[in-house]
Amino acid sequence: MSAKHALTIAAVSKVFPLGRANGQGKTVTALDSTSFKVLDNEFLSIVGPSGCGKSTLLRLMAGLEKPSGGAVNFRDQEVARPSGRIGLVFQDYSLLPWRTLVRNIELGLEFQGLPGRQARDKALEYLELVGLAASKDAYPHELSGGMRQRAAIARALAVEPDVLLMDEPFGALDAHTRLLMQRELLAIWEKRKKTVVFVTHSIDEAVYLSDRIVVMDKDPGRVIEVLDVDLPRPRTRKNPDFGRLTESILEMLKY
Amino acid sequence: MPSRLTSLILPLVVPALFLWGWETTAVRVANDIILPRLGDVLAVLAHPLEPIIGMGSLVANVGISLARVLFGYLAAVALAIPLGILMGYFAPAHRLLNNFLSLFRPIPPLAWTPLMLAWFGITSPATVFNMEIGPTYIFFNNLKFSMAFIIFIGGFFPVLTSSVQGVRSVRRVLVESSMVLGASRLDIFRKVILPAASPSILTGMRIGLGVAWMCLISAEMLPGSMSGVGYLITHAYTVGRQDIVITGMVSIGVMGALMDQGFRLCERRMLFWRGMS
Repeated sequence: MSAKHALTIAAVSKVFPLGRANGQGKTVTALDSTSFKVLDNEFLSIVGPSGCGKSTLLRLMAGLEKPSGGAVNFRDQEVARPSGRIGLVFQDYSLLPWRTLVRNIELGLEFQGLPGRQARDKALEYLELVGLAASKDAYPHELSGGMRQRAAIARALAVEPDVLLMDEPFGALDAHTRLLMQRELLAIWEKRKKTVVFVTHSIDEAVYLSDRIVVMDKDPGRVIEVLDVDLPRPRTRKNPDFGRLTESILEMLKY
Repeated sequence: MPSRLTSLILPLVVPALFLWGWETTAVRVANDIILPRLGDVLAVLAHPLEPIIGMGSLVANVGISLARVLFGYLAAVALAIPLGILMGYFAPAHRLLNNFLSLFRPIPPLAWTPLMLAWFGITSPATVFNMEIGPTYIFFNNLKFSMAFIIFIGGFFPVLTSSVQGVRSVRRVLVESSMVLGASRLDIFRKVILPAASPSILTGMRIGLGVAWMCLISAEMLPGSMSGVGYLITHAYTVGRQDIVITGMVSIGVMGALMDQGFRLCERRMLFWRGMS
């Protein structure tokens, strides 16, 4: 086997109980018996409509939720709880507002027990990587949404996780910033060769970024297709194959 | 600049009208018991270090009151913050204690007076620790447990409620994003929950201090009290010195406002990030 599996999602389902207002004892199936594998060092995107369970899936991979059935394995070990080995970047507002940027990046390094001096050096190195070295002493509220997300990415990368999960990290950004961030993320990914699982609403974004795309549908949340994206990098949206692939995913989702 | 001038003068207009109204009314009433003249009150305020009606100076009495409030208030803070954090953090602790404590919350601190006198009488740290008679004894004998308890009750609940709320309203994404960075429970508690809850806790401490300060009068009316602004006011009333009554009221108001402002300043310094993302 040439490529190893970073994450294996085996027949994973997730059922949530509904609140009292919606009827006692009723449940909703967020994810129905879902299986696929995430390969080492690949960029995998998950797309699908709201309510298809893609965020739930990511939370299961991060160990923030436990599956109702099946198992999520990381290198043949079940993911039982969050650890520094599988990182997660949230959509927004996950930086600690009382810490400066560099202190925010240091947070995960403090959890690892890295001594202050080394933590500072490493935090600065990762701020440099995302192009925020000049803003190291700024507080999150002083920064734009795009800068905050770059800092969140730097914070997640600084603890050197084996897998980086990203939950619509650019969802709250304006269209222009979003395009810039996509390009920067690819640059970082190429520099640091990391397994990335990227959840997004945007099919265009998934096609632009990914090696493979998991397409999901809702009611109940499930995988309907796993596609290879055989477009040469660096990609351009002018490539007719880019449009064709986007079209075919839209069709799968019956738009 | 006229707008600058207006903004400086505007806040002074109502106080000036108030003082003018007071003075003209006092002149017309011409009865010190109903309303003393402005000048009489200012005369007392102008000499804060001179003994008045055989009770020592105004400053000394304010100082004693301050020591009492701090005694009861610090005890309240020392218990309410850990308890509130515990209740906010551990749902079972909340379920165990919340209903029980909610029964005591609506009871006005003053309603505890008879029980306090029955339990504590006129004991103080000075009597409990058998201190030698002297200045230290006199100081600590002023800190009667009965008074401290009433002030304690006043300060306790605002601090408790805001600590519980502060911990419970920490945004989940802050906790979860720390978990995926490999944080232990203790890490999350120390580096996320506590700092995130601190604005709420500090606000509760400010409100609690205000309530504790307001409980002062009732506390200082208890038997065994021979000093303090509260006692000064009641004593001045019995000897018909309304100017000193008002002086006492002014000192309480000014001290309370100063403490509140001090707290606000701290809040602004420490918690500049509050309300930001």
